[in-house]
Amino acid sequence: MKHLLAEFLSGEGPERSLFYGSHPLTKGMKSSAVVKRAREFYAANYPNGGDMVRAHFDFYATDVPFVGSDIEQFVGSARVSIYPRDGLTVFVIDNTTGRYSGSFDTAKDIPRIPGQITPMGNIYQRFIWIE
Amino acid sequence: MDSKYLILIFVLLACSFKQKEKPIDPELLPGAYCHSHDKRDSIFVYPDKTYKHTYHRSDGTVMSQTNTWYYKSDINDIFFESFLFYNDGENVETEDYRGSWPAKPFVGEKGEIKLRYSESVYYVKVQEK
Repeated sequence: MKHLLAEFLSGEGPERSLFYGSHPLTKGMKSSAVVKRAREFYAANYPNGGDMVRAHFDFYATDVPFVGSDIEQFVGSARVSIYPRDGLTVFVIDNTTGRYSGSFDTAKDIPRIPGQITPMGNIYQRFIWIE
Repeated sequence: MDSKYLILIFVLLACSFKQKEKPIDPELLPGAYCHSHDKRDSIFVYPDKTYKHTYHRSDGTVMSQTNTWYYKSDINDIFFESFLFYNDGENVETEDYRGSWPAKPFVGEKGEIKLRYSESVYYVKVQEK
């Protein structure tokens, strides 16, 4: 988690990161408030299964005292995709780390500038696992 | 209780009080929407419950898809069936992973209708049906 925060603050490191199910950060996301809301939303609104793509779920300031992992607080709000496949379910969590979400919607995002180091420029994470 | 903890709790609660989103009249949903951060990305929501999603790539090609939409007033979400997300790079989502995209419609500060994609990204209605 520390390297993601450092990459965001410094503007160094990759703009996009991918984490699979065995990664400790992905394990932290599985029990997050955002994923819990996504599971409940999916159960209520996709009674016949089907694919749900990039549904946005908010992370509220009141969630902060109850977070179970550092990565959950770092990611905050996220887009959740759920794909049932052959009796298993694929989860894909997409997150943008930017000044906007980090400030609880009070500062504007700034995109990274290609070829330049952009401190606090947007970086993107994707977490994928199968249950 | 220590006063600093009371202040912390107050700040957390204040930050979490977002204006409750009211359900939108479904009659207002049809129209042409433009992506807030990429003007090449548009969604045309038609009154007959179909939509058309187009993306004008920088190489001159136009990506496009058509399918159906429906609105659930109990949760104030519009669902776009078999939605594909486009971009100008090579990372176009594959047909295997197109699904129903639930978007939250809301009214902006200037009365414009927006479809939320993320915290700060949305499609905004630029033309009536």
